[in-house]
Amino acid sequence: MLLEERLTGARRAAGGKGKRRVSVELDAAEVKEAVLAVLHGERARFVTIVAVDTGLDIELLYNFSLDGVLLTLRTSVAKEASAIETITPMAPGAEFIEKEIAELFGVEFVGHTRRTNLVLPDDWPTGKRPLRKPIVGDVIPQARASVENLMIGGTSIRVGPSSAVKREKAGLPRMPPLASANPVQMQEVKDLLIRSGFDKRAGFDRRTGKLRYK
Amino acid sequence: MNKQAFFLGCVIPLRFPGIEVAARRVFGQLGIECVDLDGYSCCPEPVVLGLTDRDMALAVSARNLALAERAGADLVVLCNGCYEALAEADHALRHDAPMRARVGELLAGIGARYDGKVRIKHFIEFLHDDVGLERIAKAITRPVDVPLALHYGCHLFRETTHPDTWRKPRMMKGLVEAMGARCVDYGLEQLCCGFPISQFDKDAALKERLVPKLKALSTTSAEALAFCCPACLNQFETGQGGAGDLAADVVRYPCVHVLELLALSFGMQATELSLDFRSGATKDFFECFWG
Repeated sequence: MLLEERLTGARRAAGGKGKRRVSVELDAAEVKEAVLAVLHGERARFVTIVAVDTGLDIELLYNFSLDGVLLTLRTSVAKEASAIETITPMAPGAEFIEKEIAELFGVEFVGHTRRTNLVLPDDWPTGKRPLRKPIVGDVIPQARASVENLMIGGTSIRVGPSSAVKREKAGLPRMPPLASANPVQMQEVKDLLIRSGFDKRAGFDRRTGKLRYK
Repeated sequence: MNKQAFFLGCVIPLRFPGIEVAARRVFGQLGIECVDLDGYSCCPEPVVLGLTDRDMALAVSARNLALAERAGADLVVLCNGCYEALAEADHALRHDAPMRARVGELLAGIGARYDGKVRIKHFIEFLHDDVGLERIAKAITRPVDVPLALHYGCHLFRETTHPDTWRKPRMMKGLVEAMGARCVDYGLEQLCCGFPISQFDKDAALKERLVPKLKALSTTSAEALAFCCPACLNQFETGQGGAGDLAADVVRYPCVHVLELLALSFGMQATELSLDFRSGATKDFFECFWG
């Protein structure tokens, strides 16, 4: 497919029932180029964008009709900085739906020119988004500390200085032979957790070393 | 494989290092070489983490098993929860081909592989079956001449291949009796300690689990409660302290680990068990009998 040839990050997504539905997953930064590719040659028609609040992210489904096939470009933007480039220069018909999603879900479509509200009243409070839920992931509150400990140190309980003191008093080495005692082994555990996709499913932010929600 | 490696888990080495000291002493005195499993991670904990994400849990368990396999060692597991997590993962990887393929791919990504060659044994099972009660009885120099109640812990009833779920609990009782202790029945041996529930509702865990057990115990001659699971031991040690009015009229029981009892019966001094971080009742009990 042209898209997969042009965009190395594009991958065929699961779902899309039937022969006449195709779904492709993309990074948010690739959407503009993908839309250009889809609309190239005037065989395709922009249909709409669907926004879905998945708890941690806003998923955006860009739908096109292409030779009788419904093509969906799927991407996500993190709620903490939910912004994506507008596609209105290539697909003017996206102007209203982008504005609607911006107002209801709080996604910023960078480059969108319409400033006034479309579906919300003019005096609607800034920052209040009727269809946007608080940031929350699948990990239940009782498991969140264990998940953070696992992602950071490879154990469900924290390896802190008090453990070292206890062990020293017992006549044992300050650290047990845990992965966290060896940077190479610890990196291996972290790589495994990342490869399993757990960090994404749990909503773990590797930059801060914490879950993205309290 | 005939080399043994300890799977210490997290709770024993980080919260109860005295139990690790006891384990090393017991295995040393029995002449069993048990190496450390260098670079192991969380098992992972089967109740909260295991239920949070099964794919992640199996992958992390499989890496631990792969470490043991690479070292040419079978695992002697010191913690009930770790035993369940590792045994369950091993069982799933043997019987679930798509899962085995998925986990195999993840392991390959970090340069590891697991071919199912590791034998996973709870330390109770290893001491009972592989060492034998007779050999253990011969090593005892100071019998534990105390009436004890047993708390087996839910995961000790977990069997992946054997139909008899009382197999390992019976072994624990046999082991404690081999030390010279009298095991006292109290009728609620199978009731959970409340640790998993305490993650969600601390009061319910005390009211519905710990306090009924303590009340049943108080009608017996038991002088202490013996455990083979560090999480259960921790729940009783901290729970008895925090029960307040819920257990105002109930005796506070000393909480001892089977490996501690074994080490003491092999001649170790209570002062060597690093009891600073244990409850007053437990410290008093150890000092009274083995001080």
